[in-house]
Amino acid sequence: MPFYSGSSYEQSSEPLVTRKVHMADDDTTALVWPESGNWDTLADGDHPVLAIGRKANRPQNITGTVITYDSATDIATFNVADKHIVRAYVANILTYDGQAAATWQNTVYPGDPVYVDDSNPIFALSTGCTLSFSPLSGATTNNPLAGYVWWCQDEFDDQGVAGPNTSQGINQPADTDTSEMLTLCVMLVNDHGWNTDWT
Amino acid sequence: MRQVLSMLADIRQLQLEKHKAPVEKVREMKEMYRYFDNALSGVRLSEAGFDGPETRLQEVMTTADFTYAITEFVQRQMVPGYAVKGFAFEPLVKPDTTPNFLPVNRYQKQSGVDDLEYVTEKGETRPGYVADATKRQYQVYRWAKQFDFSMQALVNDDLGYFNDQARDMGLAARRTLEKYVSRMYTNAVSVARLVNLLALYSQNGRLTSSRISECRMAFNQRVDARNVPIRARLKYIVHHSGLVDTVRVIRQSELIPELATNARNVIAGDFEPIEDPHMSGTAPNLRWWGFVDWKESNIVPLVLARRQGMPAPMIMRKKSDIESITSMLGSGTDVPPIMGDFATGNVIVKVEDQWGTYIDTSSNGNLFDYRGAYYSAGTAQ
Repeated sequence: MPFYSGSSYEQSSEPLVTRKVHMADDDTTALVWPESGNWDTLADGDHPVLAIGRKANRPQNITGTVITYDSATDIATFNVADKHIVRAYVANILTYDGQAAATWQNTVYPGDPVYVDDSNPIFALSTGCTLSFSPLSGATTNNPLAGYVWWCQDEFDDQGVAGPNTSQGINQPADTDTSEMLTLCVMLVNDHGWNTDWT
Repeated sequence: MRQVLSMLADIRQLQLEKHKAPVEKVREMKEMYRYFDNALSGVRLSEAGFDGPETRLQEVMTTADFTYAITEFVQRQMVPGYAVKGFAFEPLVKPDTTPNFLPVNRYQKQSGVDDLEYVTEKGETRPGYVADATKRQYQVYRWAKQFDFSMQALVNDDLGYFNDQARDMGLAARRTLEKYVSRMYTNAVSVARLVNLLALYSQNGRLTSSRISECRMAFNQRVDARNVPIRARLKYIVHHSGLVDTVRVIRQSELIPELATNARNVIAGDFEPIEDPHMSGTAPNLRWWGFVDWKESNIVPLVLARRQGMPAPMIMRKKSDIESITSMLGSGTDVPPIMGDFATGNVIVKVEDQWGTYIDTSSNGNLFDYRGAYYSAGTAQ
């Protein structure tokens, strides 16, 4: 499945901080990832959550959502605002054993952290999926924190008529301990999720 | 081929007219193209006799020969969207108005005073009492949705795809309100309230003439807080969309349709059906509700409050913060709204409405007065 596209990705109108990002620089170092190669190639109308900056810096990468992309100039406009919410594809993988998924997030809760993940099982699942629940990649490198699972805008059966909403509207895995791609709302943060003093 | 020649002639005529060519020149051009057309139309008589087919001007240019000028045909048109169902809920709910967003209190005397009592000779007349009023509290809330468009998207809209956006937003507000009213009686707490009141307030039978009669007789036995019979009459049957024909059969049958007897169908015209398109359910287990007419009985099953000064949804647009200027320090003029905001060119529109109802999460659900409602799960055959 390609990158998330269409007009339904936006789950918060604000904050909106748009920044122009050159997809290809003079050298061959990937500055926006995961994109192309094993993953889907960005096209206008796609709205994936991607990491910006050299992979060598991981996890200290900015994460943002592609708002627009112009293939003629190979320039993307990212929303890099803290706490904006988008609908995105997220793999339910929690940890890896080598390049194979080892454990899974079998129940998803609002507030669960979500990371930009370029591990092999992710693109094998879907070339449009760039996020997972795993803080470490299959190559045991730190994944940059993208944000947290959040509630989508939705209509609840009991909204406004019988007290608190009882439905969270969170897309849950169909099976346990199996890799799946979920469509979840994610609130992006500017914190990459790691303290370099820890390492 | 003749069509192509005709088009070429038209194009040439336009070119000549644009360059203000003399009328004679235009006429000459037309005759030349007419000659072409005639030559292509069939055999011509020449001085040497009839020209054979082999000497005719052949059709050498076809549509496919014009890769860009002719073959690339683009026509884009919008076709009308779907006609959607509505839910005429108005008779079911008593409208009310609140002055602001704070809760308002409504009190109702739900019983009279004591019956008189037999007094013995030299006996005392015992005191009666007056019951307290029943208090209901509700408030209104904001319901809104906003839509953000880039200025480019609106400019690029040559189809008028967004022309109906304001209308669609108004329809969305109405649809949301319809779903809200539907949820007032279909939510689990409201249903449980009626189910817990047992046979005079609920059953689980599918919709039939006999069961509507049971519903009507249940209303007929309604009593107030002191068990005094009150005038509650079944007026509305609210049903799932899958029961429309069932209701029509019941209303049009002279005899009870589901029974093989000559018993007359006495409820045929005694109720008004209201289809609720937002009600969930899977055939054949389709739910239905009975309601009184609150106007004739003062038994108010449901209430819909709106804020004073907000009788209908409001559709808004964020005003552009851009000014057009000719000098840095001179005065500016407003720009068209399509320019959006200064920072990103976003055009932001919003629809908002404000309404609410009585909410009791522990007991009554949204039934302002449960005496005005009746419920069937529609499961039993």
